[in-house]
Formats: sequence, structure tokens, C-alpha cells
Amino acid sequence: MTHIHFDNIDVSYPIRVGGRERSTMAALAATASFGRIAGDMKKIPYVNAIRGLSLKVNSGDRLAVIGRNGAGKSTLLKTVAGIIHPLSGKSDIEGSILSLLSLGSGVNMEVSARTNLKLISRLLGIPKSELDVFTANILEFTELGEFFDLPLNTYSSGMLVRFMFGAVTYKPADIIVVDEVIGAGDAKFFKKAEARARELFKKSNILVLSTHSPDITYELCNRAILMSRGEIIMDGTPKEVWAEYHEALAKEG
Amino acid sequence: MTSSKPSGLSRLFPKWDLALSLAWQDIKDRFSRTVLGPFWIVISNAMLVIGITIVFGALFKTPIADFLVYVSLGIALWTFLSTVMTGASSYLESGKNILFTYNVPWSMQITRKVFVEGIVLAIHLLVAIPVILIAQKDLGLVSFMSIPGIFMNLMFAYGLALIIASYGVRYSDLSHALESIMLFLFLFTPVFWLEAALGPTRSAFVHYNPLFHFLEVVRGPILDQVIPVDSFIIAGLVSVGSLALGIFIYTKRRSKIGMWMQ
Repeated sequence: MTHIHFDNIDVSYPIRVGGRERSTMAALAATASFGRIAGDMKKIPYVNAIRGLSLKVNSGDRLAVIGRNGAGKSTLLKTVAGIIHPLSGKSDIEGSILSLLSLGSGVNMEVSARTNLKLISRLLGIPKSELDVFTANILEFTELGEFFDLPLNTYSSGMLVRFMFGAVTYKPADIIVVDEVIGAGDAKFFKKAEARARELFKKSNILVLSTHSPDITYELCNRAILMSRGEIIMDGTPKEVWAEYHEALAKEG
Repeated sequence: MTSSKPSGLSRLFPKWDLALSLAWQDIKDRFSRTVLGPFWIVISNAMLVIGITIVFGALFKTPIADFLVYVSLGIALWTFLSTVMTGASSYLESGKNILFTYNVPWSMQITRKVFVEGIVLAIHLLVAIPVILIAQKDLGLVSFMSIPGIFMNLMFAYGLALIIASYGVRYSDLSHALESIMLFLFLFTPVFWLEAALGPTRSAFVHYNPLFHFLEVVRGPILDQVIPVDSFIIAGLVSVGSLALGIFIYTKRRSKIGMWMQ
């Protein structure tokens, strides 16, 4: 059964300070001298982006993650996506994951969209027999026309976003993780992208979406959590959580 | 939707077929704007081999044909081992975009990069074949023992790549340290000089250098027409050991890799 279970997890990032903390030589010296020389290099400063968070997301949940900038939303999404692992606590995620955290990755700018799709299809795990259907689908969706057979470096940034968005949203997954709303090109395409994204989200068992928009939350989600300083401070229906969030924002002024 | 449990080869090297096609793409990209394409690999290598053969062949007073085979195999294998070792610390970082977006095992990126160097090695060895056929008069079936020797080199390099890549994201000066070490070892290992030229007392040190045995398992069966049993045992044990250690360290450090790539 598809699920995400986090039990008292802590997620931290090392702060990149000087070179000393990341030096092989300092590490060797510290290890060889039992910490007498350069022993401080093992004490790297960390940012605790998520502290003691527990969360259970089950099949059918469409979860909105709400909170101010720096509340830990992106870190939570990256943890669900498996990009970062918790330093402590228990994490148990079951199901295939599709993460839409950033676009424009893993493509070769010097070859055409068609050629890129061959590689992307393999990264997405699309069988060879389905490649033609996949290619046709992306051609139709992106409306790239003759650009479809030109190298990507001739594309405008809007076209590139359309291409990447179309390619990665082709295949549904058990768990879909989306960071913010992906701003995609012109208004007409934006509608089309929204429609495609919605359809994709419906096919997933679990949706985890970080957003700043109440409307999107109401439309796509049936559950919301409010985050602050790396902790969940409220878990409820989208309406309740947004009301609480607006109140908290009003109090702070 | 549960994915079927992978077995055998794909369990040890998840998505190795994807890694191979990405590696092939990398090779094509590297030479996409050149007329000669992958021939550049051959040309730059040939220059080095010919140069060394002329100068050192004369110094060691060896038959030029034998020495040409000795050097071309030595340089091909050394280039492979040393590019993997000095490059492995940035393998994961260089594949960040793919790893962060797609649902692929992260070790696939390491497999991919080792495959790239493996393809370069294969090109070097293919070029060496005609040289061997011309230079070696008495080629026997025993020469085919070089093939398991090549696989030992691949296994050894892959194990080391797993170790170095796991620590490379954490320690940013690891590649510099390894570059210096590999330069020292290049001179210390009989890649382009003959062990016999060192004299009886010092040549003993050569045998304590495992890298010598990795060269010997490929060169021995072709040049001496015998199976260097000692070298096969040592290289075999070291390559299995490095692969096991590599898998162990990578698995152990896997959960911390993402944190260092932010």
C-alpha cells in the first residue's frame, strides 16, 4: 500500500563554511591524532531544517504543505522525494515517486527534443515499445512544431519549460511531489499545463504539494499541514489550515 | 504498483543498461563538435605511446615491437584506472540534475561514469589489437587470459569509484589528494618501464604494489605467453575486495550523500 510514514525525523543541512571542514587532510589528521589535531573539523555547523517531525500520509491523501518561506516546506518535499535522508528518526516510504521540484534537468541542449525523449523515456522507465506513443504525446502537448527536430539550444525559455514539463508529466506515479506551481510559458500553455497536471495528480495515490495559493489548495487537496520553523504546527482540512495561517499572519502583522 | 525484485546482475548494478546508454551518450557528446570524433581518444593516446616507446625503448635497449605492446597496454590500463580514481569524487555531483529529478538509483550515476572510462579503455584496446598481431610472432590461446584480466581491472575500478564517490561529496579536496597520489604511483608502477631495469633488490618492491599485478594480468598472457598465476590471485582478491568494500561503504554513506549535494 502506498504510504509515507515519518516518525520523529530530523533533517539538517551542513553549512558550507571554510575549506577546513571539508578537507581530507584535516580529517586524516584528526583521525590519526584521535582528535587532538584539527579535532574541530568534525564539528560541522548544521541548519536544522526539520525538527522532530512526525507525519503519516496514506493512499488517497492529497496533502498541501503551507507555511512561510524558510518554514521547511522544500526540505520536507525533498525528504519525501528521497533526495535528502533524515539524520535521525524513522522514515518509511512505499510507492513509486515522481518529483516535480525543478524543471530543465537531464537534457542535452545540443540535440533535438525528439532525440532527448529517447533518453528521457529511459530515465522515466518507459518501455521501448511505448516510445512512439510517448513522442507523439509530447509533440502534441508542447505544440513545438518544426522546433521538435531542432536542437534545444534554439528554443526560447518558454518552449524549453513546455518541453520539460510535458516530458516529466507523461507517466503517473504512486506518489507525486510538487514544489510551488510551475510557471510555464504563456497563458494559453499555462491552462494546458494545469489541465495536464491535474489529470496526472488524479492518477496518483498520494499528492504532496507545497503552495502559497488557497485556491489551488482547495481545488487539489483534501488535507493540509501548516509548517513553521521545521515543525508541523497544524494538520487539518485545507479550509481550517488556511484560516489558521491567515490569522497567524495577521497577528504578526 | 510494486516493482519486481531485481536479480543477479541488475541487483548488484541497478539500471546498468540505462547507465550504459547514458555513458554512450556521454562519449558521443564529448566529441559531437569534432570531425574526428572518438578518434581523438586514439590520437592523443598514440602520441603518448609512440613517444614513450621511442625514448624509453632506446634507454632500456629492448626490441621496439615488444616494447610498443608493453607500453600501449600499460598506458591504456593506467589511463583507465587513474581517470576513474581522480574523477570519481565528482561523479555524483555531475549527475545531480538527473538524480534529483528522476526515480533512478544513485549508484547508476557511478556505474555510468565508470562505463564511460570503460568505453575509452575498450577503444584503446581495440587499437592495440593490430599492434599486438603485428608485433607478437608467437601468439597462443593463452593470450585470451587477458580478458578475465581486463574484467578484474573493471571490477577494481568500480569498487574504488563507489568508495571515492561516496566520500568525494563530503571532502572537496579528495580529488586533489588522489591526483598527487596517482602521479606518484604512475612513476612508481612499471607502466612504461621494465621491472628488470630496476635491478634485483629494488624490483622486489614492484611486487608489493597491487597496481603492478593489475597491469600484469593483461600484459603477461600476451607478452610472455604464460599465465602470471601470482598476479591473477592478487588482482583477483584485490578486485573482489575493493568491490565488496565499495558496495559496503556506498550503502553505509548513501543516506548522507544528498545532504552534501545541496
